[in-house]
Amino acid sequence: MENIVSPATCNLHHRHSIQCFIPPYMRLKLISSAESRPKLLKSHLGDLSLDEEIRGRRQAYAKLKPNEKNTLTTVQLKAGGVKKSVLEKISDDAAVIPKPSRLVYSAENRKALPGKLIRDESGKVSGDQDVDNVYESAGATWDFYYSLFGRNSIDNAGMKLIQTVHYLKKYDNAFWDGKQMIYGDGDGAIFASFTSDIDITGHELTHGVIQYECNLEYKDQSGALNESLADVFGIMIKQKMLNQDVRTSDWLVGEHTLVGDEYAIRSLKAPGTAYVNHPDLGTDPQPANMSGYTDDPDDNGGVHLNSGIPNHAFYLAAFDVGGFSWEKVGQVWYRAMCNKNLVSTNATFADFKQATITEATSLFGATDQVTASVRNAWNSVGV
Amino acid sequence: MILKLIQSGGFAGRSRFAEEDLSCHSLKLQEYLDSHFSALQGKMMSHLPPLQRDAFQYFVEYKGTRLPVDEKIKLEPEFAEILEMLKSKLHY
Repeated sequence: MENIVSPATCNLHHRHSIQCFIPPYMRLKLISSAESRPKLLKSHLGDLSLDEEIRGRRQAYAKLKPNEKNTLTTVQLKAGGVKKSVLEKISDDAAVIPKPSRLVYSAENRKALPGKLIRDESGKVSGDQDVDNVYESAGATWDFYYSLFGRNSIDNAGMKLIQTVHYLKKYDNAFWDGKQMIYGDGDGAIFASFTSDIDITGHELTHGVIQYECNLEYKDQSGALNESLADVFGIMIKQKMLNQDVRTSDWLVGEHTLVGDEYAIRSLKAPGTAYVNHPDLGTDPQPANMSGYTDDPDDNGGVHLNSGIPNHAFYLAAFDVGGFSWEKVGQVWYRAMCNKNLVSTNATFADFKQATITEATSLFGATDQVTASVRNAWNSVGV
Repeated sequence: MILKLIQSGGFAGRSRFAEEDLSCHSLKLQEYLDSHFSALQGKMMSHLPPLQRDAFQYFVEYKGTRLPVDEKIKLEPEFAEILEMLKSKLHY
């Protein structure tokens, strides 16, 4: 079986409990007794996976309790020892392998939320482009978080992904209201539909993830970090969907939402250049460095403005490391985002810098290139 | 006297504005704003519900004083009507 480590061959003719396999009933007893000791539990579940591969997968797997099956799934996916497709073949129990639970509504150009249910997990394409766009984008976002970080939805407990499209008339916005995502159709002249870009759905869903993790206060530097994390994970979700590495990605957020091929809403690679001399918006005001940090009282201290600084730090670190952004630097950023001990609700840029260095050190070592790239990136943007 | 409406925040983080010359409106409205703007300042405390992200925020500006618009506060009907009209005229 691919991706499963095969046991060493036993050369002895008799059954030897050390070099051959422990029968399932004994393995299950070991698992039960190890429930309160996670490391031991993981070890037995890992061994069980080898056992059940050889003996007959369904028979041994079927004997596990639901929580044991969930632990086995999570451990094996995280360890990379078993592909998701393999695990799906093992069990007929759909509940064991988490899946996204998406509900897409239409507000029918009115204000009441969530509106009229148009699409759910029953599988039928709706024919409404905006509905189908966000259905697919939310699925890709869920899959990104689950396949890379083992995170099951926004709350890591299978929270339903509720989205409403066609909010109000010509509404030039998308937002997260604490429970769901809401998208406008855009006015058609300056903004297209806010369902046009996967990174916007990824951005809004990530606000939900932040809410359940470090819950950064939405003002000043903590608010700009909140916005930055939403952009950073939004761009990684887009890159993964398009299979783009750090060199082939354009690092642009909302490039199909701001009307005009030469415009996007934000750039992580070059904050301040996403749109230049736009007839209505002028020029992108985002700074790329602390020297440009501005307190904008109209935007909670400039949360959408100053997010350019940590955005650029992520870009610099990821570009320096190379490859796919989510593989190394993305892991660092995710762990920092989820570390409430290092990232408080009123964390500053400097606090988050330290959190990313700590997580990079933990993952890769203090002298590894990844850790150096992360530190250098923050230094480069003046944090 | 000019009444100004400001829409800020949103996903793109860019502000829009609209103005109305109150000399075209009733004297009663101007008297209402003159006498109540300070009192409204105490009531219109916060703008965004705590967990909303990327939602628009609205502010009104009158005689150099800026207040957040709180939809929960019941406004004088003519004032509320003007705010709705200004929302349809917002521009960058």
